[in-house]
Amino acid sequence: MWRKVHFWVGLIIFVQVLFWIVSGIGFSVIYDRALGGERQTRNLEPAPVSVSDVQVTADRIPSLLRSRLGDAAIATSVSLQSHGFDGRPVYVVAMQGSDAPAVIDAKTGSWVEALSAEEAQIIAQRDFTGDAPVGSVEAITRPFQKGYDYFGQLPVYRVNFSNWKGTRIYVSPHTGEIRLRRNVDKTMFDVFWTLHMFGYVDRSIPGNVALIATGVISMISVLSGITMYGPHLKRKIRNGRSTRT
Amino acid sequence: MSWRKIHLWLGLVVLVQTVLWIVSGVGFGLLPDEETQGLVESRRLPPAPVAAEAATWSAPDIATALERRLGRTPDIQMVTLFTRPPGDTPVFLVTLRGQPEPELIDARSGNHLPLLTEADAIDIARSDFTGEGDVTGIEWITEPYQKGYDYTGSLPAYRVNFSNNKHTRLYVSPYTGQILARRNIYRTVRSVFWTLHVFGYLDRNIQANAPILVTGTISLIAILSGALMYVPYLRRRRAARSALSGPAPMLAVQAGQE
Repeated sequence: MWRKVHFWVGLIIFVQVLFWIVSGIGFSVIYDRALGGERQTRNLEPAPVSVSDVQVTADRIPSLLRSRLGDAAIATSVSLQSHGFDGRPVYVVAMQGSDAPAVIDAKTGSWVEALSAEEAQIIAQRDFTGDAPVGSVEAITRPFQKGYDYFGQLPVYRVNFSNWKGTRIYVSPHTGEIRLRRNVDKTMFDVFWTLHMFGYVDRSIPGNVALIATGVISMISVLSGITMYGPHLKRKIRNGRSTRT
Repeated sequence: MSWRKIHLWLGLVVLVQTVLWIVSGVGFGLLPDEETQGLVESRRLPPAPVAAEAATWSAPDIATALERRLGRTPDIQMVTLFTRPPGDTPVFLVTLRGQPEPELIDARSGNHLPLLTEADAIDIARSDFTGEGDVTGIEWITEPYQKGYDYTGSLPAYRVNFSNNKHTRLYVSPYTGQILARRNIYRTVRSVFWTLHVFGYLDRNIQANAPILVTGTISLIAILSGALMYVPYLRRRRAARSALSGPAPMLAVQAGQE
């Protein structure tokens, strides 16, 4: 009976167990490369803030916000940094109840609008050191829009290059900073992740019914295999004893 | 050596790890998400509004003050104004190129600010924690994996430990007073599962982790041998079925007629 249980249960979960093992090995082979990002990039640090160009002091930020957004705009932090597109000093203001920051020119006090796709492309091209041209620029606005490729702040531009590695660089439309650099290594990692975690059924791990059910069935398969071996082991021990006596 | 023996012996070799993989894998799926993130006993306060009107110091003023303090022209990468607990002080956090630790400046007076004290970190942790129990101690975390897999965020950090039955601990930034992570027994269990799942007791890296690669390969051979073991059985069944079905009925009638 245990033999049949082990056989049939093993047959049912055979493909998924194969996925688990192959993807588990795969993680260990490409982990650092996949998560470390594309290396054909300049990976430059953000430019230092041009302090002498800063004419607007931080205490003016609340009034600038109110004049544009009304009294409801409440800042939770104000960051002075260089804009990723043209290096001018800007204030990036995080606000309560808003995912998108306000960006204010630190020299003139004027509002800085979000970058266009063309401007994001320029930033990405400046960073990429390969020869391939840009294939397309996409606006990413929803979580998992590109599967597991990007989990950061939204919205973001994804600049896709036409090289064999499928390099893509994610650029913030608000500050022009480069958020992530990915390529085919991450694609492979995501395929492994999807196979390992039943990502094609449910993207969450906690409460993932497919994961839990298949895990339990696998345990039945393993335990039936051990139990199946029990009588065989007993016979071997008995034969060993009778040989000695 | 038959596929059966390969399947048996390799299966025995990887049996314990296979059981650990399955148990920890199912465990990940069963751990409740919010509890594991420590959000159930947290006030989950949003970031405090920043009193920007009080920040009268300008960027050039900050650069001059830093130059005086550091004895060199600072390369300022970012200046962030925020409200630092406790006491809601408006603070400039200045990130300098080539210096890992940020500079902290009082946005009203321009004075250099020290790191938050242990007492400050405890106050901040208490203001967030809604569970039963109080602070039992505080630790200074400076090394990666100092507490195993419990905390892998920015360093240094304070770890404030509570006496509740969930063993809650909050990690607090000494620069900003921000709560960097909330951990408890669910996280401990998750870390145990993780350690068992990726051989963390041998090698914390996943990349080129020899135990994962070796045990994975042996498991692959074990499972494939299990499948291949079935092939001769399948052939025998087919042969047995052909033997039982005999010659075709039409031919039998023709033989009888002759």
